[in-house]
Amino acid sequence: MIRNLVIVIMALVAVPTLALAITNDFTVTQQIGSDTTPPTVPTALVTTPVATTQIDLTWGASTDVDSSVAGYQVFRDSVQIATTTLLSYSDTGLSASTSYDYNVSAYDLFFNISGRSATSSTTTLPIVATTTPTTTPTSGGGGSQNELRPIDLAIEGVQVEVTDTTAVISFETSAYAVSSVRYGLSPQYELGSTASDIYRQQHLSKLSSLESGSRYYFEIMVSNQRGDVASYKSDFITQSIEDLVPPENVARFRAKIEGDDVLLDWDIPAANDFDRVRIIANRQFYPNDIADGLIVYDGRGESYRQVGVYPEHDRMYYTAFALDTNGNQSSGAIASVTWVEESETSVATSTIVATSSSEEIAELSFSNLEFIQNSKIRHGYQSLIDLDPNRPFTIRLPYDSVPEHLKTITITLKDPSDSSLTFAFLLRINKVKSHYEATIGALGRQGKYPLHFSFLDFKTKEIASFDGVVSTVFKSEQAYPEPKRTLVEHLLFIASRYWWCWLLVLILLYMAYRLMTEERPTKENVLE
Amino acid sequence: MRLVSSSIITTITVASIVTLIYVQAVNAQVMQSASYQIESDSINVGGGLASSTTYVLEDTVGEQATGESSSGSYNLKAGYQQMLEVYLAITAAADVTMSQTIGGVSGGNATGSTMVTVTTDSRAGYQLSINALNSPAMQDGANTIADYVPSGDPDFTFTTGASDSHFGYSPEGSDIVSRFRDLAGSCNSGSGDTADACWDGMSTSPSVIAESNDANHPSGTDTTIKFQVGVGGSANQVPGTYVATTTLTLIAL
Repeated sequence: MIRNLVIVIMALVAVPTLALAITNDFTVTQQIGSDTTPPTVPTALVTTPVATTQIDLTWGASTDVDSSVAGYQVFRDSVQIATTTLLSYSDTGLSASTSYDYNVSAYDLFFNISGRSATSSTTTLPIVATTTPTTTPTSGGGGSQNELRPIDLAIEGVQVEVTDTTAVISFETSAYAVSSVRYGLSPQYELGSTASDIYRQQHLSKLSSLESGSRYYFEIMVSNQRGDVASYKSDFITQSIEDLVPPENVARFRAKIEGDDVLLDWDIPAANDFDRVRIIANRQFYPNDIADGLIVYDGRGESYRQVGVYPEHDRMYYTAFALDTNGNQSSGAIASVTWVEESETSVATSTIVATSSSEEIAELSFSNLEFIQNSKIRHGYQSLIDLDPNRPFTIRLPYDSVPEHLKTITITLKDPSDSSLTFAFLLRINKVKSHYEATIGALGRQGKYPLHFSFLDFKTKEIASFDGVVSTVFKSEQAYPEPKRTLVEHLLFIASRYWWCWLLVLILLYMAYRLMTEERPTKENVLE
Repeated sequence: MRLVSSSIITTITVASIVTLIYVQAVNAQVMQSASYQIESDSINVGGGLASSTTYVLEDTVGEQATGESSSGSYNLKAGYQQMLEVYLAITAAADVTMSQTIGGVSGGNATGSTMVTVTTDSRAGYQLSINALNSPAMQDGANTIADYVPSGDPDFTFTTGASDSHFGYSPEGSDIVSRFRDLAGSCNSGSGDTADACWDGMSTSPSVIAESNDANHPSGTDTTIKFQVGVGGSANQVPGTYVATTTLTLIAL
């Protein structure tokens, strides 16, 4: 029996395989040829003695029929002294009153070398103690003929081109001169200097490793062969690249209970430098910072399910921070859930319980708020706050208007068509500590959005609040009319803004009344 | 006696099982319905017509195999079930030497091609793919010529910028896949097969260049693979002999 079963298995294995594949290898060969033609011989070599130790050379460009000219070789007295990709060279370290012969050759990318140019000979300047010699250029092969003229050394045409970390200072001198540039963050030029020992009339000095957005002071000093000096002082500011602007918050951040899980969803900001969303959870308060709780999500998605929150926790607070590519974080969009009463609690306002109050905060109202959109600032005391629904906007409150111990300030917007749909955000202190602010993404729809402003103590207890309305109108429909006020409203408006003037007037009237009613001293009274 | 009978019964039972399994397992395609197909059938005793609600089977009595023979113009697989195994063949692709030497600095273009003939009796057809051994494909020691990079779909025209130095291919033939077909100067659209059009770059991963869902035995189908190297005027490609080792892979579907 066993033997027969083996036969069955072997029969199964012996079934022919139908899959079949064939491979076929071959090669493709391509020859790439080389360049054997040298460049043309450089022409118009000019040598110019500019100092007792320096001769400058210039020449005309070579060409290459099947390649590109890669550079030039410079020969002094038939000995190669340099290679350069430029059409000029300054030969330094020479002896005074000495004649030198120069040639130049060109070479291409395959190191085919041209013939040498015609020889150009010239003599370095003599050492003269009292006169100021300089020369006009001499043509190639023709020797040199010095021409003496007075030197008027001056620095001209100073230009500074800056980036965030570098500055290129270019200038000219009225005569051949060596130069140095000192620089620093103060007029003491404490950061050092650059110097060139080549005599030239067009100078360029590059400063690097600078700090962005900083003012630098520099001084140019030049001296010519005779020892005349000139200087020039100025300053520049490097470009600022630091991005201090926080990104706008995620929009429509909601927390929804689904069984024991919490489903979080949101809309990511449309900003170009948006990087990712990081959601922090805390079971006691709204996280004010990305280090203020447990990271439950970090990514570029638009939803996340936190599983098994309940029954270990019956309440959870979430803050969604939008982060940009420069590490700036938004103020935070907030939401919370609780399993106590309702199956869904999406914003803080439904869980906040007032327990105390603060007189200073109690004075705050909608008029203390500022709304910024498209670089325009609108104040809450305006009766009409119209915003473009297609653009983000910033709501802010002056830093000095609330006590420092308050760490949590929230703002809640209600959907104009569904008041049960609310979205809440934290206000954070900006980097210059001038305001608490939150940048909210484009609301997208036209309508009137009820706004609730809350001050939370111990991060969850509301100690003060006020309400207002923000309306969004598509740009074409925005007219920004001047609010029409009645005379009484005008007086009340002036009274609310300039109450101290009224107080002053009252005091003055009271003092005048006292002066008028006070008994004047008589001669008899004085004698008594 | 009882032992002998038991053994005979067991042997007959096992033989029946083996026969049934073989009849079901060996299946070269000869028939099909909407729900399945039969590659081939074989019932060793008798022949005739059998039918069910979903198919009709006409089978033949088997015969002894007489083997395979071929010449330059035909392949013959004579005898019983000789076509049971899928026949799949491809002619050897000739090595390609590109049309001209390109100046490494002056630049230029060179072309070349090779042709293969694929033959199969697989009624489901075949698939032909190409891949390079190296990345990039063309190499000469440490020096390389980049693989052609089309802008999305294959480029209708092989385009070489001043600083480009690249190597591409374009298949042509009646079975090339839609990616290399063209319409009005655009590739991966229409059904055209414009000569010297629709260029792509080689990859070490196989790319399907030709495909058919029918058997083409015995005539086969030709596919020509054209190659092109382009060197721009400022690419400064280092001189040398660049070789792309290429593999064509043919599978039966």
